[in-house]
Amino acid sequence: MARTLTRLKKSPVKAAPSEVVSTPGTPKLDNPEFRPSSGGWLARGGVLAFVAVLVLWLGPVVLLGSEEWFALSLAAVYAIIGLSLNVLIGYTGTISLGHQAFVGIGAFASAYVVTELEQPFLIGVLVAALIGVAQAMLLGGLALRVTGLYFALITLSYGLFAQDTLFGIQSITGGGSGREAPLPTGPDNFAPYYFICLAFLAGVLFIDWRLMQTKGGRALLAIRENPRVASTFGINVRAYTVLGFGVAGLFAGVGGALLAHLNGFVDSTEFSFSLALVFVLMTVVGGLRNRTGIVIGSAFFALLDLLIRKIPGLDSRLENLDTTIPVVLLVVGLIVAVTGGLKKAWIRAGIGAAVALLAILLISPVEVPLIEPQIAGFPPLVPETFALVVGPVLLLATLVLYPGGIGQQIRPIQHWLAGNRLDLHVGGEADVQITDVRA
Amino acid sequence: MSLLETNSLSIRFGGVQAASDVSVKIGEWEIVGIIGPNGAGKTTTFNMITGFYKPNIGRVRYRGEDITDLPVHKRAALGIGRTFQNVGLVKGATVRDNLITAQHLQASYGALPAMLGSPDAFASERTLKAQADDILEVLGLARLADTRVAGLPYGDLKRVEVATVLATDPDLLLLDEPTSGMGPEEAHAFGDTLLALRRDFGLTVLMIEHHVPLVVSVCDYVYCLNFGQILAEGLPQEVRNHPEVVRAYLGEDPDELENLV
Repeated sequence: MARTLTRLKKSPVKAAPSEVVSTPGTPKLDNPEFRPSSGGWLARGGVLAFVAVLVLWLGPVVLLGSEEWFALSLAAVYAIIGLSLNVLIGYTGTISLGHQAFVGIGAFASAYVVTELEQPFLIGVLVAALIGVAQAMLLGGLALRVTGLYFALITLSYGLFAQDTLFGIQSITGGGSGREAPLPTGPDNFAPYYFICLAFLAGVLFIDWRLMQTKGGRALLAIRENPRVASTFGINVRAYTVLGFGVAGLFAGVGGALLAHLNGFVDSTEFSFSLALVFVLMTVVGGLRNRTGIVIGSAFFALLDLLIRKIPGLDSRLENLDTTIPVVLLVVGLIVAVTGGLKKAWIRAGIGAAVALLAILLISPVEVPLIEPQIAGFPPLVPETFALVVGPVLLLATLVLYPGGIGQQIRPIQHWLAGNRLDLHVGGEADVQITDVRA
Repeated sequence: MSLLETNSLSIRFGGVQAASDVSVKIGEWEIVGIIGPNGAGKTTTFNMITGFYKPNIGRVRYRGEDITDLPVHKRAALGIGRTFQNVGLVKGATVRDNLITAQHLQASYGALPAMLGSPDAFASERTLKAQADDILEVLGLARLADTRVAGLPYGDLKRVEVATVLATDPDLLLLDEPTSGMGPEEAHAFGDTLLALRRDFGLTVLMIEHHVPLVVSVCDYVYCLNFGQILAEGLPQEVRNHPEVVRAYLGEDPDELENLV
């Protein structure tokens, strides 16, 4: 470590190296002249405290029922899964379209350990994590040989293979009848389980944070952009790619185990391709390489179902509705996107207004016949597949307008919270890379 | 003992003999140039020395040890650093982060403990960052530290690349066309930088360079490659005036060479 530095000390070219070194310990500020006032720090602390209260004390304050606790737990679990996928797509640059297999393997592993081997819940999660790591590392070894679209194809078939074959192994998964996975906090007692999920999410966030602050994360990012250059830095491309997959498998295994016990039951039909699609959508819409964005994006997709059912009357309205509106939105969106019209502010404003109007019509108590089109026998808009209808629209908007997803949109807030002056232009186009999958 | 020695390196891609019988020898503290027309096998030779290609025949020896079978990252760990013809940097990261990434082997912690929050990592990270800033300061690039590589002009990219490869703490530096995209003035200034770096960092340099005046002014020894073979070798002046070299570059008329240099 010290070799370069000692050489530098001898160097006559250099005046005083110690002066350029920034003082350790102080927060890194982009603009060193700006320091928030004490009121500014208080405001920042206030925002963080509000978020903490929202996440930790929301339940006790508004007295949630078990349905909401379930949804919140699901949001935490989805956030863990989103972070797992982020390691693959965001850090290693390999897209996984078979992430339901990663999650499902964790789910079945934990369910098997808890019900069949009669081990405690935490042992189940641990085993799920280990098996998750092992299967992901195996796949990671393959990613060294096959990249880009072909690798995506392999993950896709891996997911389908797992769903149809692996999860049908009678002795382990219970075959078609599935397997029990009891809630560790007692039947239907979701409130404490939410905090367990939250604790695991905190652990995952911590690992992810430390990974990206240290050489492992930098190695992954370097490999993602250019494995040849990375290897000349002394980075073992093979080992670090496998490490990246291992981390993704760890998160997915934990997420799967938590999901199994949250549902109380695992069976193979749960882990279909559409689940993998939702995982990819929530990660990309959340914003690759932005932890906060991914947590928000994942939570949104997890809570979508609850949101629909919580808005009075929306549930019954949706039953009368078909997919005309989303299809029209998507087609209009595509045309506008293709013609580059989305770059124009007034068109964006117009689309925004149309969506807002639609939303208001949907939730307003007044019956508006316009929003129940029933045109040409489009399939009905059932709440179960709502995520897969909303998802593509959001994905389109994300890729065209904000390649960095929600993460890009919240960048100014994050920047401000870190003790910088509020600058709405932080996280513009230049700060986001669109080329995410290594070809 | 020479620092690096290659022994009749030969490699064939399909029907093309990209290099045959390339034997070069680089002593410690030397600056050795490789010149030659396009497609002469210069970068191929680099790739065999750094481990991207495995020669069909021939061995690479570094400090007397046979490294022919070592992978690229292990050769980097031995102190072989290289730059790329088309700029080898992590474009999405800032200049400083590139230098910190390049110090991969100097981090005094394991990647796994660091992930789990090992306190060693925090201290080591501060050292790496300070060292990156020092190197940028030495090369006069401190103003670019927080700039993203993606937006930099080509000349700056080349300079940042040299800073980055220095951050890997090399003993032997392989530079692939370091002055491409620079004008004669800048190329000359780069020659001075190179001499200063050799003096201050104790570097040995092997460089592919098209800029003949630069080669003549800084190199101790020059190899000229053509069609994958060594056409001529010797002191820079000798190689420049070597009739075979003149013919390889310019055809038959030596007067034109005078205009060129």
